[in-house]
Amino acid sequence: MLFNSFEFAVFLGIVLSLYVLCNHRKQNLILLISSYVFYAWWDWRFLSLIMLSTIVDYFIGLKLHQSTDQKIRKRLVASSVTFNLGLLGVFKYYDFFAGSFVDALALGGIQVQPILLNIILPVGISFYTFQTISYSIDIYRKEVTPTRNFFDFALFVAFFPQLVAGPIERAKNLLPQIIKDRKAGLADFEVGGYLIFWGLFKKVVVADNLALIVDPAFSNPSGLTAAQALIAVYAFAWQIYCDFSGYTDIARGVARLFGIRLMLNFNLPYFSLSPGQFWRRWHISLSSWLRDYLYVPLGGNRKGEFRTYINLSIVMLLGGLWHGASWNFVLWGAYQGLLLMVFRPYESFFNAMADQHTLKRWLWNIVFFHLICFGWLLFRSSSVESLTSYFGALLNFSQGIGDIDWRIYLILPILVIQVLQYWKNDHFVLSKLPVIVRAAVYFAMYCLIFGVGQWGQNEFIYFQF
Amino acid sequence: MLKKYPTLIIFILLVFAFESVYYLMTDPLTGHPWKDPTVDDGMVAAKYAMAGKDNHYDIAFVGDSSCLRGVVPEDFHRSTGLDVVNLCTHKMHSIAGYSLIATRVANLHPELKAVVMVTTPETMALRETQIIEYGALDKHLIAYGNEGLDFAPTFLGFRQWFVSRHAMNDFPDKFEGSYARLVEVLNERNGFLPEIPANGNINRQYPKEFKLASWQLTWLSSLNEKLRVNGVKILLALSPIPVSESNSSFLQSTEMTINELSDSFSNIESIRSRPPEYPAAAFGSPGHMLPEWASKNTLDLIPRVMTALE
Repeated sequence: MLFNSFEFAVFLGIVLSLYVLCNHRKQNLILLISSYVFYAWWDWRFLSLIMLSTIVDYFIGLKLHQSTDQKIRKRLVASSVTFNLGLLGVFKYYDFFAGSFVDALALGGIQVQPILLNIILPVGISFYTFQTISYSIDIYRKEVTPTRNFFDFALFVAFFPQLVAGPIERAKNLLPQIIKDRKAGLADFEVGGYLIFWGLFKKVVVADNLALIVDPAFSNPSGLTAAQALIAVYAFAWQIYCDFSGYTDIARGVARLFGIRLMLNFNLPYFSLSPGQFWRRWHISLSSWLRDYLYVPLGGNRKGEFRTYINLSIVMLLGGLWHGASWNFVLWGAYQGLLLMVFRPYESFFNAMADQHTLKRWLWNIVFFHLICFGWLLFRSSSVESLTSYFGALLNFSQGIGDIDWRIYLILPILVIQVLQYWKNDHFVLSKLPVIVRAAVYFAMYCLIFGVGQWGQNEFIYFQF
Repeated sequence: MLKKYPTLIIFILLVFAFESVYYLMTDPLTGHPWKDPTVDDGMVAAKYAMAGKDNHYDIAFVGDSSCLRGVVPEDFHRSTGLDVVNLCTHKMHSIAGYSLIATRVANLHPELKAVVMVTTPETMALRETQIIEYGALDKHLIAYGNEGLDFAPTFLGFRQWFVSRHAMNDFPDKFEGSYARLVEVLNERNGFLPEIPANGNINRQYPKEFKLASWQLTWLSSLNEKLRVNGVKILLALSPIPVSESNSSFLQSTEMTINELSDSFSNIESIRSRPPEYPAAAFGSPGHMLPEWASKNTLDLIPRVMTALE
């Protein structure tokens, strides 16, 4: 059930109608049942995985809280991490590593038939396993008190707006909102409605239209001119941003209708001037997760420059691998790690530059955007062959510019609005415009959503991660 | 309310005003002339409009795209002197959709002698779920009403209608490049649209046995009653398929089923219950005959139609 589908609109209408009629306890139960229905819509068999993960981490959380013996606590948190990573390992990575291992043996002349599981990837597994891992670690660190109510915890794990593509919520933020009595007021509906509308615009107007440029370009780059190939890379940069941040906006908007505030996951990432800034603005819930539960435990920047670089590399390689069991994601992670290392000595310089509105700042912004785009090229290419073929297309200057798809101009409205948001440092800048202008902008968005929006039920890119 | 939520109120008023003007000034199915429709929607709208035209029609052909590309009204007229119109659309419009067009042309043209329904066997085998999921029929019903036939569109249909009525489209070059031009071409040729040669695989896999979908049967029954009242005969003919050795059992079961079907309805007569087998070279794409073969197909149908009308 996609957020941009008719089924979801009906589903949300029913859940919301029941929700407003009930008291807090029943509201949580309705949200939990509807979350399981939402998930089962994809594949009911994998519901057992979420339930298993919920049961295991619920009891581990309680035991962690009760125990004072540090050895037992360590064992408990280790078992939670092992269990959740084990789930990920089996369902997401086993076939990839088994296949890669056999390929490596074949390079050495040893032919072995791989034993593959051929299991389809359960949607959202990368998101909810990371969420439950952080829960156990936060209790271990005594930053969070576990809930005794099993159903509240189950809702924390499975809350449907953020279940399949995040944000990866922390117990500190989401659990108290689930536990305490809440009332969704008109203001919540206003903000929620705005976020849903904006997210829908990003998804159906921008992302899904840009996909019509990106998909054919990357599946057959040999016929592209250099300009067409470059435009397809720009298109992918905005497609993946609008697809994922559009999903997050809708998720945050839907949650807000229930009076729950999910964290900000994207903060105008293409206005970054350095990789450090980029990762503080892109998929914030994942990058902060990797920082708090991987980079810091590895030693962060506390053990000297060399170890810092090693830690950055490890974190970004694993961050790349988190996106999918494929070498292109590992390569992309390695590239991001390299960028972080190269820029690290100049990070404070770029941080200072970010506060200025000078020509130099904007020119450098454009340069850095191209470094990010290079990363997206690695991310989107499915094999080394397709990557080399794409590089070939980028150097194909012999055939002029070629036909440019009009859909690329759909980036413009997003860009204009984002410049405004950045300039005013306000994500809700549209809602602060004069009444008539605001209504006209919303109306223009409405026309674009139904006039050029793609309603062909395209999945969100991040579902596959 | 206006003071508290002025933007929302103005936005709703703007949308309401726009939608009202848009609805009043454009075709209810396609949004034309403000925008071009999809080819499928455009074909239905064009044929619906042709059915309502103030022309003299003796015979109307309805059916899928094998009929659209395979029946040439001018050839028919040249041989018989009868005024013929090709109101065929596409497969997913379904027999229900053809019935809506047939009922319209029969209601508005008392001079009409027969409706000839020409389809491929696959069209007759389409199930209700496939047709509803595709949405062409529901959109037709929502836009133009049900022409007195007992049927209501689904909720899903309303969503599909609303989205496709608003969506901008690039009209493909092989369909004349614009909807307005397509309509001109269809009017010039009394609804016939010549197939363009293509180099694709024209063969389809046929099952061993032909199964008429019960839902399609319901619509034939409904059309039978409706046109019997108008005194208009319904003639049923299957379109040619590419010759293949694996077709024999399929063709046999098709023939049997269609003959049984015409026997069970008083006003329906089968004039070609076994699809003729044409060489692969006769087709530009699956089910679509090239123009010279469309003429041959038309000439084959003429005596069958005339005999049925006697």
